[in-house]
Amino acid sequence: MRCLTDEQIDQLLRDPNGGGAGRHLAHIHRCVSCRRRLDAARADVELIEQIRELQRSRSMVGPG
Amino acid sequence: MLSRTSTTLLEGLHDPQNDGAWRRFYARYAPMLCSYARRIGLSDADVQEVVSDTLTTFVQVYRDGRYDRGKARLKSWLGGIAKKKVLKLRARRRDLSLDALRSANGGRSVHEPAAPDDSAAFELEWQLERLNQALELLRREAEPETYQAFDLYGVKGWPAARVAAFLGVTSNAVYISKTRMTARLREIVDRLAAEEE
Repeated sequence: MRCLTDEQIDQLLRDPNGGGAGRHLAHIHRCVSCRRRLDAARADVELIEQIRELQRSRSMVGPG
Repeated sequence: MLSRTSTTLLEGLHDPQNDGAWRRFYARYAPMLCSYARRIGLSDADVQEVVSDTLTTFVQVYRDGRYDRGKARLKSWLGGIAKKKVLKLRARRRDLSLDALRSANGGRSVHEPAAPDDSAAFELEWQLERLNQALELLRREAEPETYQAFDLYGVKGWPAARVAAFLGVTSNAVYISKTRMTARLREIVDRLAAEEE
């Protein structure tokens, strides 16, 4: 199997049980490069969650 | 948060006639203090009191020359002032409610609850404010379309195909935008954090 595309890595994060996930995970298990990319994508998810938390937090703040 | 921008922001506070400096200072730190105060469960009225008192006190401290960056970072100063304001406010509220409880208890003593530690909430809001600044810097430096792809796909969670159609680009371009923007955002956040030291 070829290395995963950005889209496939993204889908894996958004839906770990979605179609093809097992095959993709099996590849990631063998491929250092894809494993690194998945780790980086996971770190991105954390950052995105912080942005959402920021937006939630600031949306509760009135004009003051 | 003492980035180079913050240093300029603070310098303007020396001049009491410099309304613009005060407004910019307020605009920068009031939202995060507001969020902090809400996060620790203060009422709307108490939030406004804490935010206003904290910023006013800090400016006074700064103008009096008591703010020494060599001794502590801005976060520690502002956080320290905010936490003291919250403690005082809670003590006032507690005294009022304890009086009511004592009175209901026939004047006998009642159990006083321990004050909660709000440091984690302040730290979280400080980090979120750093992220907020980083996002603003990223927005300014990035190509509008690239930033929009990142915002719609990465943050708002639109499907990549929808973002691609909306912006008239390929889905792959959307993925690449998101990856580049998050990497760049992380760099800016790290730089701001380093500048605070």
